[in-house]
Amino acid sequence: MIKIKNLSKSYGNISILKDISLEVASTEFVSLVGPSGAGKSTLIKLLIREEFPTSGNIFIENEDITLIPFSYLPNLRRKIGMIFQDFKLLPDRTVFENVSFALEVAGAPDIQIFTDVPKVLKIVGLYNKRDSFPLELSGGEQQRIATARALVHRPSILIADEPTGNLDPFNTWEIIRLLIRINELGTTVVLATHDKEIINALKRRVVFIKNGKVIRDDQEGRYML
Amino acid sequence: MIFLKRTTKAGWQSFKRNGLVSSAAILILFITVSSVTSVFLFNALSKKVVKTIQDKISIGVYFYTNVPEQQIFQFKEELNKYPDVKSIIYISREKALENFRALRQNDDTVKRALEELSGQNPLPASLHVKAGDPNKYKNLVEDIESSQFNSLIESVDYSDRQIAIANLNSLSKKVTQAGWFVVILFTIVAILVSFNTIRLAIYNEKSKIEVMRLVGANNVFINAPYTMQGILYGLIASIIAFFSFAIILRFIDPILQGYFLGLGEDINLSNYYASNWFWFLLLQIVMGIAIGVVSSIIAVRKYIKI
Repeated sequence: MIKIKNLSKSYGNISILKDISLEVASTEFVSLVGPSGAGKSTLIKLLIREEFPTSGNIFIENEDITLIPFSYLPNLRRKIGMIFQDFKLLPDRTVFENVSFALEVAGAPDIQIFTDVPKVLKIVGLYNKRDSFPLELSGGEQQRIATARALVHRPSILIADEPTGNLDPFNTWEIIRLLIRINELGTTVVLATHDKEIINALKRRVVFIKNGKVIRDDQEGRYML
Repeated sequence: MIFLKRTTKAGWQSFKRNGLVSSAAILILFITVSSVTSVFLFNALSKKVVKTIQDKISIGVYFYTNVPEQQIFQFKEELNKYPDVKSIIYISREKALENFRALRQNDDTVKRALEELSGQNPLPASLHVKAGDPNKYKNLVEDIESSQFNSLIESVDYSDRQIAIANLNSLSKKVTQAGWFVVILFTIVAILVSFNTIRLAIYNEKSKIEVMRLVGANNVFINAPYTMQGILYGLIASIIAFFSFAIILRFIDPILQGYFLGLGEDINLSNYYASNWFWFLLLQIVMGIAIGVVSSIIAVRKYIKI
């Protein structure tokens, strides 16, 4: 599903990622763990081509995304669902419109939008707030909108970059439970976090990154840094 | 079709929900469109004033009092053949006296002087010649003075008006040139102000554009709602400007007519605006929409490469 080969990323003389190689199988749930500044977010940005690697390759579904032209990026991003720490919602659109946006950009017909968006809003528990604007909702609810948006176009991969970083413990577990459920439905999940409790509770594969390098890769890992 | 419907809806919603920013952009575009319309109207007004004054200029050819009317008519016919001549008015000695009496009817001294002449008429017959082109008056005078009828002529009053005519010609050219200079300058300044206002409005959208890119929207999909917003800004601003001018000119006309006393009935910007309403509306809409759309596209372009 995802194959990273000898990936490096530098900003000038500062090296952020150093020769990383990694494979993620289809339907796997992988946590990228490491302290702040380890390079997790940079790796995530490279996975969605928000940044360009200094060297190395990234294959998603056997396609080298470091080689695809700029005009093809929207297609790549439609294959991937993204959840960000700062939610990245459109503030002047309602909950429903934020979620339906992911389908609209892919050219989905209205009938699909009006069938799928309510379904996914029910899954994340926001159907009753579909006409609210993001700023009228709590941080946890905003992250659930972002999760719904990442899910609605049924991506094969879901990437979550510190999705619980701005949430209280209750909302944190709401989001994690959602990610587990999404994974159980057959979506590959890549979760970047530095939350020890989450990692220990998940009991899934953990890739430890420190100083831009993969230092451990455990199939049923616990938080050990 | 779906794309058009969605982008129109998104553009309209964003326009509506960001009311303050939209109002600011419309206000600036309204000022821009109005400024350029004003400059066009000013240009038309200045041309009209110069043209009206020019139309009132003529060369007066005064004949000796003993010259028979027959010969004056012959000369008039001859003059009519000159290509530079636009019109000729004949004023007989009797008509000249009548006009003079009417003009000085309240002047007792003149009245007494005319009574003392006991029926004699000291005023000469005259021809008042208008040229099609004000630049041709000098040639026309030379032609008159070198014609075979010159011996009948007591005086030609062109030299008195020569400086005024020359000044008017020069003024006319300068006003036209300055008018265009102002049109171009004002248009550039107005476009830059509008462009920057819309750019600032879209600067606020920077993070939204980033989100759209990350969710997988392509450039066309991101641009389209902003382009739609630009169209709405331009359309609304130009329609407001169009009707504002229609109303404001009605109040300005009496002031202008008072200012250009003597040319009063000729200065009527309302009529000019009404008779050219289609071109003004077209100018305003095209300009408003063009500035709105181009500014939006350029502003979005800056943030689209994520």
